[in-house]
Amino acid sequence: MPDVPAHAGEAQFTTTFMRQQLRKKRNSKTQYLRVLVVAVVLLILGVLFLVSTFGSRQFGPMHKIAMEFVGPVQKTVTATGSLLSSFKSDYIDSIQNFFKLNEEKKRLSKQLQETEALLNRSREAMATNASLRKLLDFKNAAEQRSIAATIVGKDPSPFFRSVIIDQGANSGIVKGSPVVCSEGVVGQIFTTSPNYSKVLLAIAPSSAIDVLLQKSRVRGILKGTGELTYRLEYILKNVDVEVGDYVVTAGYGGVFPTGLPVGIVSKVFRQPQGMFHEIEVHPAVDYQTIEHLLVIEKPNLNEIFEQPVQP
Amino acid sequence: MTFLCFLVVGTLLVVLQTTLLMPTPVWAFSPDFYFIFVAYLASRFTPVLGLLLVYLLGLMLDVLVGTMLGMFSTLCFAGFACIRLFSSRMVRWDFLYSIPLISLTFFLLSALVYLVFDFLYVGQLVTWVWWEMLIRAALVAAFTYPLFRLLDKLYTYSKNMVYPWKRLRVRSDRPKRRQT
Repeated sequence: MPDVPAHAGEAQFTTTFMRQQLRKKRNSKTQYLRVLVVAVVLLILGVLFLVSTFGSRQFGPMHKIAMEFVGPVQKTVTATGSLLSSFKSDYIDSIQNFFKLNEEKKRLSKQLQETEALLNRSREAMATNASLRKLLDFKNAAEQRSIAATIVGKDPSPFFRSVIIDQGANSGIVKGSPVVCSEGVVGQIFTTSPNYSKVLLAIAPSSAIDVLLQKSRVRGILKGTGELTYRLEYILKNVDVEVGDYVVTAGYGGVFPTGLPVGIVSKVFRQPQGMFHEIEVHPAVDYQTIEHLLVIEKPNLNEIFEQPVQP
Repeated sequence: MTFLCFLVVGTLLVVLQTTLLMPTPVWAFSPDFYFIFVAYLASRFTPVLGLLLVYLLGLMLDVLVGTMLGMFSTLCFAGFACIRLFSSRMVRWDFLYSIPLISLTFFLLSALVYLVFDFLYVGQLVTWVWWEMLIRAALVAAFTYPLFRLLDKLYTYSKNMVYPWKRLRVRSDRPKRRQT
């Protein structure tokens, strides 16, 4: 405590000064306490939120709102990027390609001839297929409705493999709906909001699809590796598998329709130990360039089971 | 208003990262702007506002990224806490000194995520690839300084901006109160 001065004026000043110092100390203590209380409350709320949602795979109301808020911004940015890219390819690249027109014409003519020949063979195969099916009294599955969607965002983290598309529950998409493109299987719907959905790609480690080897009709499980390849598991060693064999969806479980192209066997590791082959499959889909997808409407299994059985 | 400005900037950074800066679904060179943003919030903002912004950013990331809800919220929260702790303990906290620290924190937290998931949720994450994670840490280090400078300018601008409601304040003729 400072010494009390002799003069009254100085004494009054010092007392006021001391009161001010004391008030400042109390204010800073109160402020510190206030910040601490708010931080602790936020921390408890945050921990409660994390504990209740950590590991969950279902979007809550807040997540859906956040997705509906960010989705349109993603869509706008992606559309702008596509527009700039198409402008470049339409105008700038065409100037560079002007001098290569003659070679391009020859290449396209050759490709057209090959395609026409393939088309003729395909028509013949289709006709044969139709007659054989009729003979076997094979009932074709009804054509399933599909919804076209565009990728508006991609997962930037090194941990997961997923994309966001611009169709959601309002379009009839439900969790688990298969997602394909013109080349083959892409993945499955993971979560939905009213207008956007998240697709778990088939290359994700947590993805597993029921598949068949087209040649031998042996069933296996196709899993993602995180990179641009799949791993085909549970194929016994006595099964004849070769590089170049086609892999298609098996259709079990009612998730993916039967016969959708998945990939081509690229490597077969024949280990001396173990029961199964180690098979690497190259995807049918080029994941580096996919943009437009089709979401196949998932069949309502209850409706199928309620249908009367024909004698 | 600074809070709103930074909320918009954070949203835009996340959107850019998931669209233009991620040209394909498998791309090892996407810079993790969200972590640099969290580091900036930790070093500049008060704990309350910073945590609130981190919470909202984590929510957006959980929605747009990955398949495990709560993971990015935890990661952002942990990053905020670590950077805040280091920045308060260091004698001199300058942007240049913070670069290796932020990059190392990002690398260690990512490794921690992989470790936790290896115990709790086996087979959920993409396999750890050393070179890819080192590239990401290097990208975080490369973008920290320019992004910090940009955010600092935004922070100063938002603080000094004269908002319409301030202009409407009527000057009173009463003498100003003594500051106590």
